[in-house]
Amino acid sequence: MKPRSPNVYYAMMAAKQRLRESSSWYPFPCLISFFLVLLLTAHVVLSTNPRAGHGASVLPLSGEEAEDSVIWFSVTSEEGKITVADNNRRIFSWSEEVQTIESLDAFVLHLKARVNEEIKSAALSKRIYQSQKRVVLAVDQKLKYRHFRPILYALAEAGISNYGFETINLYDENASALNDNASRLKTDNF
Amino acid sequence: MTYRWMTSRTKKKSSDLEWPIVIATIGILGLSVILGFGFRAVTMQSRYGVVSAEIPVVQAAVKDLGFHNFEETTYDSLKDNTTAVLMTLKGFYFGDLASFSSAIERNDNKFVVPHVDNIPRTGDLIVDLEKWQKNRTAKANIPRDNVLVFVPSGDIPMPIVIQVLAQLKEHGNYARVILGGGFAL
Repeated sequence: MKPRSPNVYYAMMAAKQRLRESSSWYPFPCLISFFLVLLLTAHVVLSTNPRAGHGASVLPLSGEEAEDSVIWFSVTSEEGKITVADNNRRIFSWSEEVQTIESLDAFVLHLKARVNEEIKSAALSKRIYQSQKRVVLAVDQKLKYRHFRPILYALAEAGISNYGFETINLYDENASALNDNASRLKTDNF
Repeated sequence: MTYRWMTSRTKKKSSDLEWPIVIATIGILGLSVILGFGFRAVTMQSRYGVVSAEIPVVQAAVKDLGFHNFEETTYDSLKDNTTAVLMTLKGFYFGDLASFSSAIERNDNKFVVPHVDNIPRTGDLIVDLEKWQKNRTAKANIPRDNVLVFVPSGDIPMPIVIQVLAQLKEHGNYARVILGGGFAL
């Protein structure tokens, strides 16, 4: 049966021709949806816990039980550089041999901005929580005190007086054994 | 174009193995990434604690424009006789702040608790600190301080710094432990 309109006829012929050739585009809709699922999973996992995706291995030590802090940083060292990442995924890095506080200007500015945000939030809600006053640092166990010292100066520069070190709080039955292990840490093990 | 011809054409398309291999590889990689995220989320520790420390602040008078009778009070302050503990790779050195600053040349105002086999003896340090403070209170009438300045040297690993800090707070009964940047020795 031949269509009356030549345009419809040509369209049908084109469609036939297209169907005769093997198509190379058909996996792409599947791939797009697959990658969207991948992105969604990553986003859900990373936003559920700020610690996911950070490489800092913190000390197992039963410290005081604390709520999650609003301002949280992980501090790690890689290839001669100190890397600090916060819970908003902002990353700062500087050399391990940093000498001046000016090298940490970007980090200090960021700290000041975060503190100002918390002050505004506390003023608007007319209440302040302990978690808003304290900066919590998840410091990697491989670091030495000289690596941490510039961060201490940066905290002071940003007007932060209350900070703490994150530890892994152990379950009671394991706490004593792991705390014993922790107490056997030697200064020459690192 | 017969129906048989179309069927054979579809079979030919289905037997083209180029795309299925690529898709299977990407699928396996993607699935392993998703599973990796999942395992990470499941195996992550859920209970965290905090060992707190402080940075001393300078008191500044705030203008009370609203006349709310706002007043900032001082809880503790650092003085010459505030307890200071230095930690080096060899041992702990303790005394008051003056003994590591204005009176550093004197050798009768500092005390040492050496490490044994590179293990810090924090328990002995706490006991010695307590004895020293009691002695100081009896002899010089200096009251026991709740503030301690702790200054580790740069080579001390952070886990040890955190652990000593926690023990000083927990067993040494120091309400405020201040991590120092360094002494000009």
